Amino acid sequence: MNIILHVDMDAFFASVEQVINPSLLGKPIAVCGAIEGRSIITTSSYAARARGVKTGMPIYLARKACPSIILVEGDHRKYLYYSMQIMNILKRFSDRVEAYSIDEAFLDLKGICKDLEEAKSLGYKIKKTIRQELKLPCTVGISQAKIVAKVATSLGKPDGLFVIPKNELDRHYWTLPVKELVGIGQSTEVALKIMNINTIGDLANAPVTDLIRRFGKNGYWMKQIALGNDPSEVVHDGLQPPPKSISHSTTLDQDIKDRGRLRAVLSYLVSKVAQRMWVHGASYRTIYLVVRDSSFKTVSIARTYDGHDRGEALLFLRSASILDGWINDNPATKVRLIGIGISGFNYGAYQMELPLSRQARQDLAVTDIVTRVRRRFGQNSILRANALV
Amino acid sequence: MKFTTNKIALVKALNKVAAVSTRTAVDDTLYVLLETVDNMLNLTATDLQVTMRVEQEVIVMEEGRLAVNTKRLLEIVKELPTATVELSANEEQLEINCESSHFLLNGLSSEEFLRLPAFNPSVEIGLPSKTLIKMLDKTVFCVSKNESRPEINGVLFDIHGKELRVVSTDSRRFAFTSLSGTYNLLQDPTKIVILPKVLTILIKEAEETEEITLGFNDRYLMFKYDNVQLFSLLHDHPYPEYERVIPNDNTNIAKMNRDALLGATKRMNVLSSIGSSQMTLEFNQNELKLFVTSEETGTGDDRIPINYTGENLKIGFNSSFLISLLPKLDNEEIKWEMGGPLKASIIRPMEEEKDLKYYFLLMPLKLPS
Repeated sequence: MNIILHVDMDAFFASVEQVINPSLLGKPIAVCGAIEGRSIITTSSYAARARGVKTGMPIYLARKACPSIILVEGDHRKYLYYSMQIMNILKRFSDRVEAYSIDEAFLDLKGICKDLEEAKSLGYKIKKTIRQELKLPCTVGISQAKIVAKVATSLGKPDGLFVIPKNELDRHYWTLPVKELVGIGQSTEVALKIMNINTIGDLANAPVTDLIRRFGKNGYWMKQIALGNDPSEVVHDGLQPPPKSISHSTTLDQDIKDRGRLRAVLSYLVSKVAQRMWVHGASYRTIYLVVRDSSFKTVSIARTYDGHDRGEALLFLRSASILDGWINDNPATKVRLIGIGISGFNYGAYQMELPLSRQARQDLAVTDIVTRVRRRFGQNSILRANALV
Repeated sequence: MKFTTNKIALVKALNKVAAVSTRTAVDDTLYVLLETVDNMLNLTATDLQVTMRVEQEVIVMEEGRLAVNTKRLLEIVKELPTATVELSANEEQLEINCESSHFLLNGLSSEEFLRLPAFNPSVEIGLPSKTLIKMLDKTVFCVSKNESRPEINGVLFDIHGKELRVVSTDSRRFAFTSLSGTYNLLQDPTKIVILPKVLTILIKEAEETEEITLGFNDRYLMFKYDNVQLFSLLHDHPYPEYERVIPNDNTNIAKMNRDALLGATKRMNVLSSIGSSQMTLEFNQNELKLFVTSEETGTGDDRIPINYTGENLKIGFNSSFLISLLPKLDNEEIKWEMGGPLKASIIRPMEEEKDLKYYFLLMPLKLPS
């Protein structure tokens, strides 16, 4: 029996801020981009929501709705850190966990729980563990399909647990408006309304031929999903095919040509690429550098080496030498975007090297440790010094 | 400049200097400087890394010099009838006359041609050419091409007393050769690193000769044999201390037939070469099992008889590395000494030659757990 459990953190960013600063507990708080200026509300605590504060609301309107609101500037690094802790906890309960967003995940419980009753007690256990270890509230939804489990979560909010068995779709699922379904946006909603389809139940009962005529292939899938037949699997690490290439790029705050600063950006991008490569257990053979100049001309320079490597220091040296070559050829050109990628992966065995130089010996050991630090404390917790210039 | 010579001798000399060319075919941009002094024609060609000078006896009527395109001159001379060729030059053109054929080939004034710095070797040693070429053949193939590791981009000549060691590595393989005994080389221990290109030319060109002279100072080196001189800059990155990585306590020792291992490895390589050339070896008492598993292509295994002392060992190797290395062993029976699945192993011939010792280090592949 397919059993899918969906976990969604309650007012995640706001809850994290309350954990870090307990004096905010129980108070109406809102996380926003910047306290001054034209920023909008990213998340708000339930106390603030009760007073009419909504996500996406400009700050001044939030202040109007709730004069006692406490505004906190969001810090993504904190949320990423907590997100990783949450995912690590969830992985204790199932080996098939899909991180659906920063504060949401699906767990495949097939073979772990024999029925929804068992899944329910596991769900409470998950809630309790997250609450105990991280002091964060969450809501759990359980069903036999991903999309229904997600709907169950929204019915259980906040800090609840809700189960929708397949034979109770009529009570809890079909009564909901179609916009509750993922993938049904405003225009689809209007189009469905014209066809007199308002609830998920209407959609489930609509003739599939009508839906296909109006929406094409999507029409078929919409009906299937309304019937509770979500065929999508929990996309866990073991299911994802290994990547064929890994790359990171960034558009610079302003166009620059300074070699040192470009190298600093490159060093940061290399650390991100190296991290993902290491986590996937891959080693690369090809490096490609992408440079877009201020006239939007983009070049990609690739270099392939005679063996597979995986040390971050060597990856940086090689990338920097490609960048140096480009700068030497284009000394006066300002750079708008810079990117670095690797490909030609080997996932199997890793070629050992003779410990000829201290540098080469240390590179792999250091990369191994640094990768583990980053996994635990976040990507920016440890960087090469030249990324800080 | 004016001289006469016979066609065959000229083709031979031109073919020699053309070896400097980077590619297999003669590079279109390669120029040869022709220079007549006394009764000698000096032909000099360079690709900036390696310079070759060939001396050829000719009948000189007038001394002088001019540089011309090597490929074009060679092609013209090749097509001439087998007869006496007369070449003469003014400052811009080379005139070629042979029986009824007549050519005017545009040249490059000798001022435009790269001037070679004067080179006085501070050290010169004579080496037996057959042995030296054997040593080079066993080392040049495993020089690192990785530009970010310049310290191992060359071949090390490590000279001490009566011993010459020529070694190379790409950090995954390491080739060691040593010539010792009868030759008095240098009193002071000396290390020079030579880029592989000049050595590749030497392997190809100097096979027929008896003795090769190696000369060097602190910047340049020279190989001299017959009527040929090869010059190159010394590679100025200090070579790693290679002695430290050579294991001396590998106690798992397998003796086997070189060709049996090579054959089985080549068969495994058909499947493994598509990915990482990963091949797994299992050493047991009387048998070596080789196998590959590739998700993309399938699986394969093979067995060869061995004589093995040591613990049962499962160890990964890059099949391409073995295929490049095994033919470098002159002995049909070989010895493979292993320390463990993650340690450097040594492959050597069962019987060693009197004055030439050699072996290869091969690093394993760490198998996925």
